[in-house]
Amino acid sequence: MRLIHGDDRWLFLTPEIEREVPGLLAALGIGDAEGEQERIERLIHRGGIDDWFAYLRSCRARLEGAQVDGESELLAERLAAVLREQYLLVPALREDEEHDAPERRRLEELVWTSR
Amino acid sequence: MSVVGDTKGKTLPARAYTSAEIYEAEMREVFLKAWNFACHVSDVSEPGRFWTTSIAGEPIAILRDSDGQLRALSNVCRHRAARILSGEGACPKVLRCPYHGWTYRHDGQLAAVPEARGFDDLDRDAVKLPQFRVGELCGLVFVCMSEDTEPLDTYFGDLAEKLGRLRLAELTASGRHRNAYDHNWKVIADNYLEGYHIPVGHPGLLRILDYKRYLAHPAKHHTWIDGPFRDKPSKHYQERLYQKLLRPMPGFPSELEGSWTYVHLWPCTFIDIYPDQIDTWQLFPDGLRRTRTEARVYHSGSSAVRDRVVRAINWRFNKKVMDEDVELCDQVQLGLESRTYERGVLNRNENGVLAFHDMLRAAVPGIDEP
Repeated sequence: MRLIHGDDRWLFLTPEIEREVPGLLAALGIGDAEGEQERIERLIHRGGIDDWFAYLRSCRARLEGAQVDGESELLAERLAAVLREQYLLVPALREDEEHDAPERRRLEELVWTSR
Repeated sequence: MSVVGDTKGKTLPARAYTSAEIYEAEMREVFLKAWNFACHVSDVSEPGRFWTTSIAGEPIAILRDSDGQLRALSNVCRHRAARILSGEGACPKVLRCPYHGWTYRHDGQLAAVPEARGFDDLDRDAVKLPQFRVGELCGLVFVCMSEDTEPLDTYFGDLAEKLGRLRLAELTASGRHRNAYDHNWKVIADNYLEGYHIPVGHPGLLRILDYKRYLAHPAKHHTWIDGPFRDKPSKHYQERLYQKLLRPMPGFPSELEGSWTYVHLWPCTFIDIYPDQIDTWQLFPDGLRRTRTEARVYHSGSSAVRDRVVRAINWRFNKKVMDEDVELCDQVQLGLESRTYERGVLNRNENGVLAFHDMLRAAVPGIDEP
C-alpha cells in the first residue's frame, strides 16, 4: 500500500484548518461548527487540492460578509491569518493557480485591516 | 536557574546526538539505571525457559529457575567472557558456556568446570554470574542493573493501570523482528514521540486518524499517545478494508477500540496498541550513530481469515509508515551533523519530545550544553 499517493501530499495543509476553522466560523456567525467539521472531513476523505482551495475561498467570502465588531475582530483576524497561511504553504506543492494570488492579497488585507 | 527552565520549548542541542562523551554518559546514567523492557512473560513462563537481551551492551539472560523464580543474570562466562546463552529457549537444568563448557546453576552459581584440576587457583564457590533486578509488569518483564533505582511497581507511575486492561500476558507473542539503522537512538525516539510530522510525512494517516485529537500525555517514565480513528471510511481500498474488517481482540478494552494508541516507556521501548494486535518495539543503542531494533507482535492467536487479513493490512500499512520514518530520520541524522544547526524549537504537538528531552536533561549531566 502506498501511503503518500502523489495526490495526497496536499493533506498536510488540513490540520490547522480542521482544528480552527469550524469554531471560528461558528463564533463569527457564518457557519455551523458541526457542519463545517463534516465538510472538512469529507474533503480529507474524498476531496483533492482544488476542492480544498474552493472551500477556503468560500470561507474567505463568508468572512468578508461577516458582521465584525470590536468583540469579534480578533476572531476574524485569526480566521484570515489561518486561511492566509494556506497560501504561503501551497507553493511547496504547485505553481500559483489563477485564484491564489488575489486570494492571498485579499486575506492579507483582511489580516492587516483588522489590526 | 534550572536547565529545563532555560530551554523551555527547545530540543536538546545537536551535540547531544553527536558526542561520544554524551553517548557514554547516556549508557551509564540512563540505561544502566532504568527499568528496561526485556521480554514477554510467556518467553520465560516455565522453569528453564530463558530469553537473552542486552542493556547498554551488557549481555543479560532472563530465566525462570527451577523454583519458578524469575532471574536476570549476566550472560558472560566468568572464564573467558564468552556469551553463555543465545537467543531464547530452554536450559532445563543448568547453563552451559558453549566455549569451554563452564556450567552454571540457574541462580548463577558455578556448578562445574571441565578439567577442573587443571586450574591452579580456582575457588569454584566464589564464581557466580552477577544478578540484576528483574520484575514483571502487566505481562512484560523488565530488568534494572542499578540497586538504587526505585522499585518497578512504582517506577512507571500509573502505567500498570493503563496497560493492565490489555491483558498482555494472555496474548500470543511472535518471534523477534530485528533491524538496524544508522541513527542515534534519540533520533528514532524523538520521531516516535511526536505527531507533528504526520501531516507531511504520512498524509495517508490523516485519513485514518483524527489528527486534531492525536495527543501525547507525558507521565512518569512513560508517555501515552492517543491516536483516535476518524468516523468516516477512507477513500483508499485497503485502508477502508481495514476499517471495515477490524474487530478488536477478545477482551480488548472498549475505550481503546476506536484508536491506535502509542506508548513510550523510558528510555526507549515503544508499545503500539492496535485493536487487532499489539507490538513492542525496542531500541538498542549500538554506538553513537547506530541503533539496533527488535519488534515483537502480540495477538489473540486467532487464525480466522478475517483477523489474519486485518493484521496483514495493519502490518503492511505500518511498515510503509516505518519506511517513511526511516527516510526522515536519515535526513535528521545528517542535519544534526551540520555545523550550522545548534538546536530546534518545539511545537505544542511535540510535547512528548519535550518531556523526553527534559528527562534526559535531568538524567545526563552536560547533555544540554551546546
